[in-house]
Amino acid sequence: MVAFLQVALAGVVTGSIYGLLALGIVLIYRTTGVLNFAYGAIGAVCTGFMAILMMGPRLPFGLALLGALIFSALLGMGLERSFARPVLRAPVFTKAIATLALALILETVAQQIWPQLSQAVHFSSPFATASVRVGGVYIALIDVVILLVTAGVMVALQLFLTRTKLGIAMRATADNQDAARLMGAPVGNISLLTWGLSAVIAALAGILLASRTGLMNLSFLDPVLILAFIGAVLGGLESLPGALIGGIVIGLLDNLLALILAGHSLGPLDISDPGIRQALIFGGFVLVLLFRPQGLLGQATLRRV
Amino acid sequence: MLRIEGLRSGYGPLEVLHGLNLTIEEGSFVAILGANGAGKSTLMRTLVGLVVPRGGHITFGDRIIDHVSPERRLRAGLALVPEGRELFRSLSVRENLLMGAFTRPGGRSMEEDLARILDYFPRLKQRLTAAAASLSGGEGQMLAIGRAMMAHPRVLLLDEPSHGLAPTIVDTVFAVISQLHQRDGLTVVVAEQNAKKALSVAQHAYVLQGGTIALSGTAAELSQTAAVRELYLGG
Amino acid sequence: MSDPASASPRSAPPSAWLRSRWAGWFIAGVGVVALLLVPSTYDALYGFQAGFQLHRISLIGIYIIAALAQNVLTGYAAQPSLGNAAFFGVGAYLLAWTNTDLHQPYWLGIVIAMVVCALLGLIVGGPALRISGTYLAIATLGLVLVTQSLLDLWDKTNGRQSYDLTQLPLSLGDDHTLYVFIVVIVVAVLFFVRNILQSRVGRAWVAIRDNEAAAEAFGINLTTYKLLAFVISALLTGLAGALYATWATTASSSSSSADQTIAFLAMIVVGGLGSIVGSVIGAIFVGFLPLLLQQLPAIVSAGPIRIQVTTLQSGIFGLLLLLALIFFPEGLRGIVDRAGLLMRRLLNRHIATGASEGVER
Repeated sequence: MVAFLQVALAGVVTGSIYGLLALGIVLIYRTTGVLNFAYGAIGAVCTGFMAILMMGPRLPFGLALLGALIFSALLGMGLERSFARPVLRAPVFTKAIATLALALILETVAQQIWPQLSQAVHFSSPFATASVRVGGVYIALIDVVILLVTAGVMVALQLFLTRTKLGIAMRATADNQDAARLMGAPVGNISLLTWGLSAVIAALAGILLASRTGLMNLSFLDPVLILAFIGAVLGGLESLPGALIGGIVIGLLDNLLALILAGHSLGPLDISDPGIRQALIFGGFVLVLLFRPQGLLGQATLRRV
Repeated sequence: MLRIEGLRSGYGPLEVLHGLNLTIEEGSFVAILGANGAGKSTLMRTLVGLVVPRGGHITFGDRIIDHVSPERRLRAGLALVPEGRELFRSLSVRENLLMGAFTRPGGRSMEEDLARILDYFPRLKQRLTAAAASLSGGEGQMLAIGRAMMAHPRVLLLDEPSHGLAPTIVDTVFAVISQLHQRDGLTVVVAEQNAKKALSVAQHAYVLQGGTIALSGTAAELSQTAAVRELYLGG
Repeated sequence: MSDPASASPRSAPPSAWLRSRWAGWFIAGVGVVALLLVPSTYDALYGFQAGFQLHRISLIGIYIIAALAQNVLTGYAAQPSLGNAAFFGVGAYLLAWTNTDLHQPYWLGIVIAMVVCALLGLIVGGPALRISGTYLAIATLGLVLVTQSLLDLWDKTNGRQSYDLTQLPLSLGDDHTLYVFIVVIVVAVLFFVRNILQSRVGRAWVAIRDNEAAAEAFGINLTTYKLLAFVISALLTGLAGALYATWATTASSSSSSADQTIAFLAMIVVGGLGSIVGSVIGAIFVGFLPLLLQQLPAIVSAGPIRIQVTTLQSGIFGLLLLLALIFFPEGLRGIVDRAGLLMRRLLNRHIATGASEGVER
């Protein structure tokens, strides 16, 4: 039972990181219609910036974190002006492939500036070794931090979007841009804010993951990004809580399957292999979409013809 | 209050309005009649600044507003209830109304406005937290009008408010519009295909044809005109 | 040229001839001959390196087939599927399996790869019809990742480092022959796709893409035609995968990666959705440009500044891709269309002046 709890908890923790990334993906998708394949690169570049701040000028963790978050907001807003604007009116596939190009450019530029980041570097955090004990379960301190930050981001975002004038305007713009303009909402600045905000979330996800594993490089978020995409779609692509839940479900499944399948084999087939686990998760995801084509929490919307 | 002189406007290579003249007095209720494609929507969209005019002038109060942004025109008191309502479908009724007041300062006055508007629309009061997508056509039109009223307009422009609504609902919608006009002293301009209904509530009317004003007069005069009767009132 | 009777056929604009079906065949014929002359040109140009260079450009042909397959599915039948790399990988592994483990003839392996992938296309297409838009894209991307995991697992269970094709016909080991072999197949596939697109089936796809409800109202069976697109696309991608294994003489699970499948979509987006020419241009751009960039000098120095170009390759590619998308959001085939128009106009003017001179004389 304790082993099960331990594994489930680890699943929720990794799932939270997928969920954070899924939040940012949905945020941009809803307001600008862009499936952002560069999202992992954005998070990795910001995490790399923080790693450099801690390695080069030897800034303490807190200051480096602050620097990285400011950097991420500026990066996100800069990308909105330089990248998102020119491709805004392009067809949807063109926009998605353009983000792919953006990812290549971002990684290359970052590699030129910080060549040391092309290999895995140590990412130190004050939470690395400590752990707390709750009941019979040991929880690493970093895992507690991840859960708290994720919950905090979700609550803050939800409050912002439902309780503040600007947040409501942001949702209104995502819903009907022309009408939002008619109401006098600053549609351009809202798009700027969306990109800045989602870049900060990407940075947070990257920093948390790097703090947990103690390692990072410029492509360390790429494999995670696909799981985040799947979490976002599972959650319905429309709703922010859905994205978070979708991400957590994926993380939870991955860890629980690992526990269940460990040490078993089917004839010559070693089913505890991570490949089997992935195949089961992706297969399950496809099955879910077959029965709920709008995702688990998405609502079937009537399309106007 | 609102004076339009020689207005030319359109989209891309297509000019829709070819030198339009009309005047709307403060506190009046004006109907703009015309068939589909006569240029009613283009006129409405040009008035609030969503379409940039190619020639002529629009004077609001004592200011020429040809090149003033939609947001500034809204702040000055020119609000549009757009064709097809254009609600924020995933937002709640309350949030839609709040969006209407985006250019207004928040705080207590906002809540008072909300209460005042909801007095006109008791149906909306019961459905404040429902998503706008779940409203019926009539409720949706009420919300669109209420949302525009939240901006404290001096002139309310309505583009085809009867569109897609059952006749009894159209009556209710127009009853509310005249109430706003009478009680608040609001200047109202309605662009309508449903000439019969519009003429029954408006004071003045213009008939738009091929991008210019073909006829104008008081509502009573126009309903007696042979041409209008034949064309728009079914003989 | 004073005889008006003989002058009159000249007055017809030459662009009409350019558009006639004979001109199409003529241009295609010239193109094929030019492609078949490439090996001897390379021999003269590169000497003993010719084989290596030919091998590199052969890859373009494989990508052209894959891009055509993706375009049939996405550009014509409007299914935003990111699943094609699954068939690419399966095609490659099926050929490796029949060739190396089952010791079957090469051509039989190719046929099996195509048939099995077509069947898989049918199996995937059925459920995929229930899912639309972005959901379909990510669901099929999931399918690619499942395939990659399973192929990986197969390698692992059999304890092999790489799945080499050991029984390839000797002639295909020769880069010159391989090149001609691929050119012939690409031409055949181009011909096949062009004919399908001009048939009833192609028109039905376009009708569905432009207005699904209207197409259905005209009695077009949506399910049949969408499924057909999945099947044909899978079949062609399976062929491309098998050829890729032949080209690389090994099958690798990276053929079914997310990168690979997004690359297929990138090809048709940058080339042009719903265009055969676009598929070809896109395949060259996405499939070959990175290889071309590898040939840049490793280090460029201008005065005191030394730039390490090797590490810039993917960034330069990304920048070119982005610029192409910004300036040609509908695809690079726009360049070809414009060039064609310009040529027609020049030709018209040229012949028109020629004709008028003739009349004066």
